[in-house]
Formats: sequence, structure tokens, C-alpha cells
Amino acid sequence: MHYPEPISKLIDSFMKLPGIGPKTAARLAFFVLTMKEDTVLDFAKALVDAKRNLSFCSVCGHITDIDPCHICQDQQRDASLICVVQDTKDVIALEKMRDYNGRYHVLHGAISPMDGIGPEDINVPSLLKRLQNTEIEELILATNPTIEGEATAMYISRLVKPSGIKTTRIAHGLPVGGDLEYADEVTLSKALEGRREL
Amino acid sequence: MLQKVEGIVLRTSPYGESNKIVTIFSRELGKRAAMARGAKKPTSRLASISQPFTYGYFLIQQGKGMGTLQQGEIIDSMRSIREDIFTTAYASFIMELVDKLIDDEAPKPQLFDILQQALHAISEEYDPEAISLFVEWKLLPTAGIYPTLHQCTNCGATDGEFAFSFSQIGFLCHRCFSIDPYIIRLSPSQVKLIRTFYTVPIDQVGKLTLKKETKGFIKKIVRTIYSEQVGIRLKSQHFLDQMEKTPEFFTPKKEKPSPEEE
Repeated sequence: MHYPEPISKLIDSFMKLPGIGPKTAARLAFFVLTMKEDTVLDFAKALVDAKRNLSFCSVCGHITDIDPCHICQDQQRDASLICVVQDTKDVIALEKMRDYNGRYHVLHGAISPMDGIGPEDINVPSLLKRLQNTEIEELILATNPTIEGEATAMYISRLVKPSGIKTTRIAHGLPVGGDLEYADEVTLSKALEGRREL
Repeated sequence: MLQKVEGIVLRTSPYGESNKIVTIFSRELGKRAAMARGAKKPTSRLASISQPFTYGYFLIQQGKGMGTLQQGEIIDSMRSIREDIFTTAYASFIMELVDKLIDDEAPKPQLFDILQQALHAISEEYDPEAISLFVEWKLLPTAGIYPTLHQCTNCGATDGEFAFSFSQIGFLCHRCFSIDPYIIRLSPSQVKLIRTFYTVPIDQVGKLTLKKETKGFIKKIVRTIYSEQVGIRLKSQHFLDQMEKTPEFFTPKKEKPSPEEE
């Protein structure tokens, strides 16, 4: 089946997105044809704007439209506290919690021996530069509880320890609403390890 | 069809929003990939079972294409390996080597035992660098290399002085040194050590403490064989190289006793 050139170009463009195959791409392209012209223009503009106007914050590495980002500029936030995360999406997840008032540092990845990703390949040098600021008192390592996340946390903690800055790791254990009976032994032992007095 | 296998998770890769493709090396089926649906979610019961290094029983629903991981039961999570960057790096190197050297789905129980014993030894705090060297030597036949280490490759002599020849892939006795100008001469203890690395099962080695130079020497020989004869370059090797450049951040979790020769 040969499509007219504009629609086949549109299908090809959708196929560049992750998880979109030819069938889904064709369905989306035909849906675009049914949309109002203004909506399509807004959609196209949003795509271009996101690409042109967003960059990484020169301080924390979070995605932003101004530099430094809103979080780094916010004077209400506790500048003595830095939470280190793997990805910009982790910042959004932590911000949804509305319980954390410190600042962030985005690594844009994690140390992964199996993929050959070492400390030189992630955003660690800028973190070390930030830590020269005497204002910083605590570093929270909020990398994922996976092999890569643990390796990254271990590396950073070893790197930072000589400077005397307090380094903490987020707790691991049972998810809220989870059932103890169905928890696996690794999670349970981590949960027991991190128990606290009531 | 549901199949229960005893296996080790070699590697995982994210798939879609919350799924993972888990590559399991099992005693019964060899290397096989299976989809672990929802394994990236924190509440998933597949989350911990689908972590690399995990040794356990896996229940795989096998269809026409890739199977689906239904359940898992951990025998050993190899937790202590994950708790140290040094052991993680060497265990990753072993996993990647095994992964690269086997590409078919045929069962390889002997290879499975080598991998399981190696991971167990590392989690029992044996020297991970020495264990990775044992695995490298033992995996040479899997890579199609059969070094001659019990006699001279040229004349078959079992006595005399020996040297290692990369062109002959094995030992040469002093009478045959002239056939290869690039030999590495070996002391009797080095000859014995190379044979140990190649033949003695990992679970029978015991707590072997080797000098840094001895490990370096053994490593140089085996790595040269891999790079010249097998032609593989591992990503985890790049990480280990970085580790060696900044040793101050990668010292082992527990200090080993003062290094002693075997």
C-alpha cells in the first residue's frame, strides 16, 4: 500500500518515537488528519519549542527553559541539602511528593560495569564542583535500588566521604500498600535492616 | 508450555514503560531471553528476581517467540556482590564474558557450574580478580581455544623448562624455544599456576591469595589469547580499566590478608 508522500513522511516521523511500530504510526498519522488545523499547529509548535527552548541546568543538570533552573534559583529551598538522582524524571517524581525542600543533582545515567559506563561518563564532575561550596551539609543518594544505582551510590559516597559532608542513602524496603507475604527475601531483609524505632 | 529452570540472570534490558527483557542462563535450557512484564514497577514480584547475578528457579512460559517470565524463587541473590563496586565490576565482567561466548540455546551444564561457582566464590569474599581469571582460563574451550598445558605443544615433552607461546597456544619446552621468537618464559611455579587456573574447579581452589604481579602476569597471558585468538572486547573491561586508573575509590570492601605467593 503506497500512501501519498505527506502522510508517509508523517508515518515515518512517528516511527522514530520509541515503542511505535508501522501500524501504530499509521493509526496516529491518520488521526492527525482528522484533527483541527489549529490543534495540529499547536502540537507541532510544542514539539519544536520543547526541542529549541529546553536545555540542561548548568548547576544541577535538570531539564529547564531558564538557566539556572527554577529549583536552583529558588531561595526558599534549603541549599545545604542536595539529592542526587539518575534521571530528570526522578526529580519530577520527588517533586510530586512535596516533602523535600532541598536541591537536586541529576547524573543523567548510572555507573554500569556491564555496559562499560564508568564515572567519567556521567554527570559526576559538576557534582564535585558543587560540593566545594561550604554551604552544602548533606548529600542524599537517591539512585535506583538496582545494581547500577547501588554502584553509583557507592562510588559517590567513597568520593565524597573525605570531604566530611554527610552522605545518606534513601531507604529500601516494602512499598506502601504492599503485602508482606508476597515480598521477596531481598526486599524483606533490606526492610528489616532499615527498621526504626517507633 | 511452562518450564521450570535453574538459572542465573545474565543481564536485563528495559522494554517499554515497565517491562524488562531478562536473559537467563539456565542449566536445562542454556541462554534464553524472557519478558518480565511489569518488572520495573516497585510492587512487582518479578522486580528482585530479575536483577543481574540472581541465582534461582525461574518459571518461563514458552510460546512461539520469546518466553514470558512468570515466577521466580531466589536460591541466592548474591547480595554481597552488589554491595561493593569492586565485586560488582568483576562479577559483571564474568557475566559479560559468558554472555558473549554463548549464543545458542543449547544446554551447557558445565559452563553453568563454572558461572555459579564463580559468583558463589565472589559472594563468599574470595578475591574477585583471581576468580575472574579462573573463569577466563576455564572458558577458553567454550571460545574454541584448547591450550596445550600438560606437555610441549611441539615435541610432546613433559619435562624441562617451559615457556608460553601465543602462536602455538600452549607451552613450549626449552628444546623447542627457537620455533617461536615471542615466547614468555615461565618459572616452574608459574607453569603450575597456569595449569591450576585452567584445570582445577573453582570450588576446589580454596582461599587463594595471589600477589598483584602474579595476577597481572596470568591476566596478560589470558587477555592476549582472548584479544588475538577470540577477538572479543568486553564493555565491562573498559570499566575495570577505569577502576585501575583510580584505585583509591575502588579498594575492596574488606582488606585481604597480606599478599602471599600461592
